[in-house]
Amino acid sequence: MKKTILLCVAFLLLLSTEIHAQGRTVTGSIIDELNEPVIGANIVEEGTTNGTSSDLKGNFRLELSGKSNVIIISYIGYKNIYFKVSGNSTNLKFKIEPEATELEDVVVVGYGIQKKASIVGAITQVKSEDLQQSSVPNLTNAIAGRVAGVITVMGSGKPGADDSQIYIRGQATTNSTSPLVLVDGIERDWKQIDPEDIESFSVLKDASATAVYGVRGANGVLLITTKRGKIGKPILNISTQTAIQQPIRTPKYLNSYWYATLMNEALTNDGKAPEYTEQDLQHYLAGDSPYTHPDNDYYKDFLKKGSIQQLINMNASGGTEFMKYYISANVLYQEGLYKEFSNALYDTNTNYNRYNFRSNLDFSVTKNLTLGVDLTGRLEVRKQPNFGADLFDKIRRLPPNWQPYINPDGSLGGRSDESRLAPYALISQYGNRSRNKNVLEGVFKLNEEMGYITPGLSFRMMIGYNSSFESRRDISTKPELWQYNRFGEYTLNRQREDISISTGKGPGFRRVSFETALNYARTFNDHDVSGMILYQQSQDWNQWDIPTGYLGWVGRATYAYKQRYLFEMNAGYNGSMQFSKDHRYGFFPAFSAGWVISEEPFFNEDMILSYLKIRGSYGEIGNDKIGDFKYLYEQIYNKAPNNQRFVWIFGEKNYTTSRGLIEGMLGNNKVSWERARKSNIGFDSKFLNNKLSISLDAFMERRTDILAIPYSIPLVLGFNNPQNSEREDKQGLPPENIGIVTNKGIDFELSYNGKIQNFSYFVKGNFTFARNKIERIDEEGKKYDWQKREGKRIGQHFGYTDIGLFQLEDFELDANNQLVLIGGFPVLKEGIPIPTMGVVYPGDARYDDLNGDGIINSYDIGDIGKSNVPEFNYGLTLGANYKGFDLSILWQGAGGAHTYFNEDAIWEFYAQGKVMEHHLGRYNPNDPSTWENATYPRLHAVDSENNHQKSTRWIFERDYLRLKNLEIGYTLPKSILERINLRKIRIFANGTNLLTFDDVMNWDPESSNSTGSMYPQLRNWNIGLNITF
Amino acid sequence: MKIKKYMVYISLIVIGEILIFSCANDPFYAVPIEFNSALTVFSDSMRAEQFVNNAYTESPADVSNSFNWLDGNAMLASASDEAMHVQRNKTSPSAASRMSAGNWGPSNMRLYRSSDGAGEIGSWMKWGGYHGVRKANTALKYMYLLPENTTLRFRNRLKGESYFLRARQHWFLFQKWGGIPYVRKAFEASDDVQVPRNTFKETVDFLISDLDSAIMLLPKDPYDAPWEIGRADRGSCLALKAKILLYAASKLYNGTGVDGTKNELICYGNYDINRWKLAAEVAQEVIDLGWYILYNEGTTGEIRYQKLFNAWGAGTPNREVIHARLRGTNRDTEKDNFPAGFTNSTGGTCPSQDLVDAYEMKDGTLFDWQNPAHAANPYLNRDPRFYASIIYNGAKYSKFANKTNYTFQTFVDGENAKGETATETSYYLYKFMDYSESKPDVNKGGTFHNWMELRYAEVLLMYAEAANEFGGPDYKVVGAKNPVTAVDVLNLVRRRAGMPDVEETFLKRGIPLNQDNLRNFIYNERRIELAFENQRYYDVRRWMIIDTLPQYIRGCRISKNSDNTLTYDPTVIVENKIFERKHYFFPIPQVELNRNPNLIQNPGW
Repeated sequence: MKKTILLCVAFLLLLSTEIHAQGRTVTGSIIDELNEPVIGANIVEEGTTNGTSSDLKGNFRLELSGKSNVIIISYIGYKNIYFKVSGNSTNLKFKIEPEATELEDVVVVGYGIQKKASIVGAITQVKSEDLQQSSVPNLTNAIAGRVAGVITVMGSGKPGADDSQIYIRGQATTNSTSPLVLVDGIERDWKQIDPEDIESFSVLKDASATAVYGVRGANGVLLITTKRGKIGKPILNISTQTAIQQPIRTPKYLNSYWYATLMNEALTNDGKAPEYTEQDLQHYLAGDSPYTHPDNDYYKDFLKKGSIQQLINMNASGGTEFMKYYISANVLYQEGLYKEFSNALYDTNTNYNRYNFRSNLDFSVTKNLTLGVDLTGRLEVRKQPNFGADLFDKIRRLPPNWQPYINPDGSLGGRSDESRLAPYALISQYGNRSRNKNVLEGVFKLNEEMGYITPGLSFRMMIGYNSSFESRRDISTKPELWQYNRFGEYTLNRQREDISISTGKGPGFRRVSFETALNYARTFNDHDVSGMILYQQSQDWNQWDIPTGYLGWVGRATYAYKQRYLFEMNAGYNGSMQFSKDHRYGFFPAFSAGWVISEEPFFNEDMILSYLKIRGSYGEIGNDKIGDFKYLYEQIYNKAPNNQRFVWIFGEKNYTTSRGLIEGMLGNNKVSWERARKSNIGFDSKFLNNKLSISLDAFMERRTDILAIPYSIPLVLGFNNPQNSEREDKQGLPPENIGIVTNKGIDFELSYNGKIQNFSYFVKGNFTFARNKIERIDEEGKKYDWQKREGKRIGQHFGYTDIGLFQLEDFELDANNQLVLIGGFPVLKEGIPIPTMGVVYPGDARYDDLNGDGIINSYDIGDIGKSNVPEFNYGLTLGANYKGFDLSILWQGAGGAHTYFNEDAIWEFYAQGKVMEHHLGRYNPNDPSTWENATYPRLHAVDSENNHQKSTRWIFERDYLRLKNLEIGYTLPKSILERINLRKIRIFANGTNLLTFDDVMNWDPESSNSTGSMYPQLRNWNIGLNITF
Repeated sequence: MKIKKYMVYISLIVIGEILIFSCANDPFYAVPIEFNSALTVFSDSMRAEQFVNNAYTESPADVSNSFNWLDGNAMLASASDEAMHVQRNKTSPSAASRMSAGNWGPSNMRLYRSSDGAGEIGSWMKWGGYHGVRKANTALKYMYLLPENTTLRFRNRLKGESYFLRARQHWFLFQKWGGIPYVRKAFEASDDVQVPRNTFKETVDFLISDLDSAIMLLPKDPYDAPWEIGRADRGSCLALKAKILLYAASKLYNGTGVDGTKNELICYGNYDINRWKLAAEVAQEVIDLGWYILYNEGTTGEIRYQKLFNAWGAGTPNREVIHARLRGTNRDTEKDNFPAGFTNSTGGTCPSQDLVDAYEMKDGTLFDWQNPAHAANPYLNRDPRFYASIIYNGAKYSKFANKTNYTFQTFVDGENAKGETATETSYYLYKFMDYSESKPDVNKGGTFHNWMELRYAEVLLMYAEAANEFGGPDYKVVGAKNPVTAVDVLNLVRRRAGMPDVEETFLKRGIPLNQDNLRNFIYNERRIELAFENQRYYDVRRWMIIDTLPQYIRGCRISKNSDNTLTYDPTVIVENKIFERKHYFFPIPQVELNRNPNLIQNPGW
């Protein structure tokens, strides 16, 4: 791989030193549309490598070799000028024009590109600059709020594991909703591509746009293209950014005094003796005995105020008639939030380093034939302390008074229990883990213009290979840990373990894909015709899994009359290895049409409305992302789990048989893909001389044949749900194509560009709304409607409806107003529904008896709130330029979702864990003043089965509005650049996730995890420099 | 131009080649070799045997949480009048406590394990339900694939075992629900699984027919190869058959049913005394096999009875075991029932005063609180099985867990009567335990625990009951190899325990030995001999005597007087045992009713 780079560099050098000195000399100057001289425009003699570029005043001088009398003037972002030199060839004046109004832009579509004007599908394309603006290294996080039709959820900020969930137009299946993502036409791991390398980012949303992907397109498709070289002098671009990162929000825990006070109260509530004496409480309050009565603030003691992230990107591009190149290398260093301790033997921070390189090369071998070779390599190094979860998993749970980090005698504090090891020992003495991932991707492309057969015909072919491989190294060492308690006693909790290093490899992955196509495009007077037929095949080998693969044929035909009436037909005919022979292939057609009203003769050009196109499409697409199921048509027999439950002992002596064999999931030979019927109607419009543009799409999808477990099959069959985490034997019913989901919504996009003298500004907004409904899913017959998933959203939360707390008067009382105890338990008054989850006292949570049968049980669990995934998502970008200064602000928000918090994230003393500020609002049985207005139930020292049921108490609206990005930049004026001989210098500062408005207590509204163990989402303060040579 | 044409040819060749390849071998080569199909399993004798081995594991065992079909480490004994369940977490009652409180129903019935969210009371699916039925049916379905080069004996044995296992699983269901869908097919997902319940009679007939098929196929002789001992044999089949017939002959089923409506799902609809005869005859067959003897290692009845459950339970070491879940050494049972006063105590199954009072005096007379000598020293000179089953105040152990020469104090404020896990009855369970080896307080040690589904003493008691019901104390099966009377077999059981013979006992009590008196005697003998073995819960139902029992259980409050003497108050009500008519049978899980409209719920639920 190194050699390839060297080769490229060598080419580069060669190109820049090429000089021809023959024939006529041309001189001239180039200006742009603002009459400013253009520096660095390329001037090339057609058909040769003979060229030069304009100087700081826009002047150039080129000696022609005489092979051609045509010079080509090109400059990025501007149209090429072809000029035939004849007669006087000195002091020529050229004025270049910006490349195309937007209407003539091209859009990347499935297996090709199309002019934006002729698009009839629902496709949104995002510009590379917008993605870079976010200054986040993970591409999935860069698109939040920027694309109409895309809903994102950013769950965690852990370096190297901070992928956002992406939903194109919401969810339409109960299985995987992840879209198909193709990078330069091949399905690849795309999240860690540097945004700087990206040329365009297209979101394909409707049937017309995705039908060509047939069985894989139903969840929508993302097409990412990387940058390629253009003919011209080399352009070298270096950018560097440095950011400080810090958690957006950390939970508010109570200190030792409150912990002990509330613990005593909880124990009293549970009928047990208090644990802490008045003296203990005084020590906590005074903080005068830090060893016996510590008050640890783990977030403060173990997290940095800010950690560093650095991103450096260098790329060079350019080309000649013969060869075009784009090469880049970039480095990311992302530091974790953990503090470093001087005695740490190994770096235990959660770091992520990434090294990317790319070389995209195109060769014009003959007039008609172009070849391309793209090579990409990436090394990802993830490091973390030597234990399974994040440090956050520990510090969310450890009470503040647990024990000192270092005991008075100098020994290390810690427990034997792995889940509550002292964080100090963990990150200073426990070794580290590193995970390396290598990714190598290569593509070979061929394109032959076959105008010699018939004009407009071309042939192309592509072979791609992706592979990735992981290796790991764990350095493990464990110190002796002593527990020092508040009575001053030492207990040895864990023996020392000497250092050991273990290494391993895998998983490995590779994919080979191949496609070949014939394209035809020609214009006959008023008739534009194009067609494509393509064959495609790919196969994946994922570690030890059985390989999977696809093959298929794709066809497309378009017809346009006078650019006014547009028709398009797309179809995919695919097969997937997932399915049995008889159900392997499927045909997925889509039809679409558009009418450009503004092209009609009756359309008045002077109207406020300057452009209007109406589009509509309908089609069928498939989805074979059916979860972890593979080869469902076959039944597998497995070895029983290695567990005493699956072992029967025979024999005279203690003679154990080997593990037995068991049936796996039943086979279902009818299993096939999901089918989506999608319709879309929309319009694109421009107003006020193209300054304002508005697009709106309304969509409707009905997904049928969704694979789901047929829960209605009686249990006498002997099998049940195979996916339940409790089911270690993996036995169960096979899913069948029975589910139906509908998904409807709109997406909307608006932009306005304005200019007042030197001050130019823009507003860009987008809004997406999608609501789904499960029409049919075979659930075990639920007795009541509110228990059913049918008719509700995918991922609908179910739980009890909390109707406040039990009060003393809800119970039978004796003459002294004390609880009457029967069998040791209080008795609820006649008519008050009795909870069956556990015994309740005044102050415990009370739930609504939905079916009114007088007891609270699973029949009273109904739909509460919405699902985890937002129903709407919006973004608003405001930007301005004044002279060299630029400013942009992105507000982003989402809503229509609920998030559920449980365990340590919100409950008191969970797993002997800690307490937070909101627990102060508890109902205290011994303090009548709290009874009326308590905001939290009676405290329990152990998990309370009644109070900790999933209920409306623990779900929160996920609506939020964020100041997602704020960026200020300054570009040096040309006058200065001239002096230092550079094309461009821009310095900028930006911040991401600066402000968040929401109602979620303690945690970020986008938290992926309900238990509070996740690495928090991050806020970045970033400065950067961008230099172009 | 030349290059161009050349390229076209190359391209065409490449395309052509790909097309040819993709057509010739379907690129999606069908079933990958990694799959183990039914064919690969059953055409290999070893794999087929492993499959059947696994089908055995569907049997529940209350001795450990891992196999327990009741949530919260409870034993079924705690849902009957034998015990109450004490647990550390008072806010979430165990399944047995809920059953005692009448706080259970169709929505409590779980499917696999407690955490699957369905409920607390298992066994419709796992640990004695249809999950195991399927395993037996799958084995029977594919048994024809067994290679011809295996011996006929092997093939028949495997098939016979499968029939036995199918019957065993349905038996567990039958015991709880009455007539149930008798499934004799390994369903495919596409099959119509909306099967109705079979009637009570059909269910019994299917059970018997499966066991008869098994008896025909299984070897004529007991196993002697070390790898075969412990498998189902003809003895297991006959013993299970006797048990089923004994149930079928009992009042609950052998008549017009709990509500007199002749509901054919839960009863025969008429009484037929010959059903007792059938049961007696099959029990006699087990006796006539001569394969089993009562466990007799040890010098005293107490030791013999105690060790029966901890001695390795298969083959020559323990010839009393007919069918049991055997386990390697562990301390699960001790852990689940560990008395208060020790580290890691759990409380667990705390025997009731009612049961304690049912233990006879050592001489066969009855214990009586009205007798001042008895009341002053209630734990003196009792049935040796009392000492092997129950930890009481003053019980002495030379080794108990990690302590030596330990004396239990369950009097008020005594060491073993304090804390969250303190017994409320003043007793702890001792049966099944071996605290000299297992030390839950230090998490060390372990012992064998046999969870008996069928043991020889039970067969003898079955015979005694059936014979007495059909022909009274003197009845003997005509044509039996070793004809015996009910009294003869009772004496065997009592002698092993160190108790006087029936005749002597009756003499001492001064009552005549007739059918009615012997019936009551047998009821009590079962209560004592089979205590905590998941028998009493069903026995009081099939005898239909549960209506006559108190709806609560008692504990004993023992107060220590100033002169160190003890005062016993055995009348403290510690737990309600709610019984309604519907509790004669288990409710069919609601989720199953919802899935299968053809199922009819048991009456009253």
